[in-house]
Amino acid sequence: MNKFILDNGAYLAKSGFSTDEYPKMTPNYITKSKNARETYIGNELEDCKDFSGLFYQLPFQKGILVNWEIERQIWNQIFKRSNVDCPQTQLIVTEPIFNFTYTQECLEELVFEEYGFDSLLRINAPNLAAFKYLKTNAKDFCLVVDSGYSFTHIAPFYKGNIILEGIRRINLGGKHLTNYLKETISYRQLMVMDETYVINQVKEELCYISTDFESDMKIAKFKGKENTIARDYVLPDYAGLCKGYAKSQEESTGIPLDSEQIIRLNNERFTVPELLLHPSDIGIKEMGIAEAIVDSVESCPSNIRNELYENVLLVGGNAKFKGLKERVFKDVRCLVSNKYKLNITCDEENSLSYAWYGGKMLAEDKEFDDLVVTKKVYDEFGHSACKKKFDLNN
Amino acid sequence: MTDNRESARLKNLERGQILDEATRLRRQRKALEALERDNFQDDLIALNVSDHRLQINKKFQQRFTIEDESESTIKENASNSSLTNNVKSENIELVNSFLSEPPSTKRKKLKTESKLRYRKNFATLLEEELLTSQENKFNYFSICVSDTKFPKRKFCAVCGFNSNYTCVQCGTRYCSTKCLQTHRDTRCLKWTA
Repeated sequence: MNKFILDNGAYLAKSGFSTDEYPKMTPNYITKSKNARETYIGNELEDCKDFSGLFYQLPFQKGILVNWEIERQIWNQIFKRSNVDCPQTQLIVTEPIFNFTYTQECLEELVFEEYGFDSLLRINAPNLAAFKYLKTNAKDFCLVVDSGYSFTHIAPFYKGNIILEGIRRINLGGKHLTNYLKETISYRQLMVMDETYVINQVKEELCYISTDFESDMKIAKFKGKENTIARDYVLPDYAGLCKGYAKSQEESTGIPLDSEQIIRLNNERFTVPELLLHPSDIGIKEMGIAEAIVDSVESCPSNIRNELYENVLLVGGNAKFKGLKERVFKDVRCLVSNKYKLNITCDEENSLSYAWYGGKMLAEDKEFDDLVVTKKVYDEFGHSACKKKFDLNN
Repeated sequence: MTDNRESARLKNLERGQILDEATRLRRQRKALEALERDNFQDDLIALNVSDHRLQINKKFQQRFTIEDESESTIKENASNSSLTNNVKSENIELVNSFLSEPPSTKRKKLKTESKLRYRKNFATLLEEELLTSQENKFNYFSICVSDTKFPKRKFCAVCGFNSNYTCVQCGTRYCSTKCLQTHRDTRCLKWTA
């Protein structure tokens, strides 16, 4: 029986069979290009040559799947691409923690009644990440910080079971960082509010998280050669240059060469990702990642707290920011008593697909068949069977 | 007659209008809500029906419109949803999705998928979830993180460095008189909420 793992993120869907070596990344949205007058479903975006003014249609809103018409089209594409034979396949799908009941019911209806999969496992992405971490490091406790496109979840785990008291959600993710960067560039330099795709590239290439915020601010104030932070980014013009790039430090003079359009990023490079740790910078009253980690662990029973502090795991798209691990360590270390040892793990290269690899390990585990709900059971009992098996409150 | 055109910005500046706390909060909330948006431009393609996918199967379209009335209720719901400004594109997306479905789907199946086709918007789902989650101690609303204990850091709106002063009229922060000048030239009270 084949097992297909679909890590259904709001930005990227990571999919693949459990026998595949690495997952396929599909953009989980539909884009429309007004210049080419084309609509790209999911992966067809690779064929797009002109990314300017790209119009996004996301099936997700605030991280919850709302628009099933769009999602169905993307899933059709994903399943077709991997040649999935639905009645012979067991499916693992990820959902956010405490997903809405309506979304869960729609998902089960789609999976069982329309596609006709053999069985389904509806699970949270942090759960899969914890499974991988606990197995590879032979530990019992793990605190997963999953920072993605729509929000950040912090969830403590004990041997694969989530500890309900410690779950936290920060409503800030990669989407808000990109929009904030668009706003600041539009105000200070060039109107880019329509160019989500291009500014997202800028954010991924140039932004980082500073370990020492104050001293980086001082360096950014210098002019000329002493300012080691400012960088130029050459915008694509789709006549010769299809993808923008950042100039190296020597070439970044702030003066564009002919027929080049540049934007100069100075303190935006590190103040934008700073929002993850200090949402109050922009007026959002919530705690940042470091404070929320401490809040989460402190609400767990006291005898497990040092185990949780020793096994903090950062996954998700935002974990790819350079310097996140060091900065989170520094901030949490300041907030937490000396008697606790603190240890943070973060695999920058694979943080996007970490949960998928966890799903792959889970699929090959011998206890997998006990966790799923089969089509027969669903046909008899409906959503209540899935709710009983997958719901976190049970 | 020739003096009918007046600049609202200049008028406000001359009056020395100072926004009160409630208006400032409202403006800030609008700015934060803008962070949630996917697109800042309109969907130009949906309004123009030259998309080749729509012209492919006119026969399918006819069959689709005769088939059942639930399609008209979906159109009503789509037009009622205040969130999106591309209502027409939703209808076109609906047609698109049925065009792209695998041909083996039987006609009967289209009728029974009422749950999937009746699209609820996020606000409705949130309200429903609020009602059903009262029974559980831990739910979508309880796990939201609480307010931060640290004080708010203040940055200049123009240059991004640390700011010590606020604009008297609108409350935006600035760091030096040069940045204040830039702020006055461009954005102060540009949109009076």
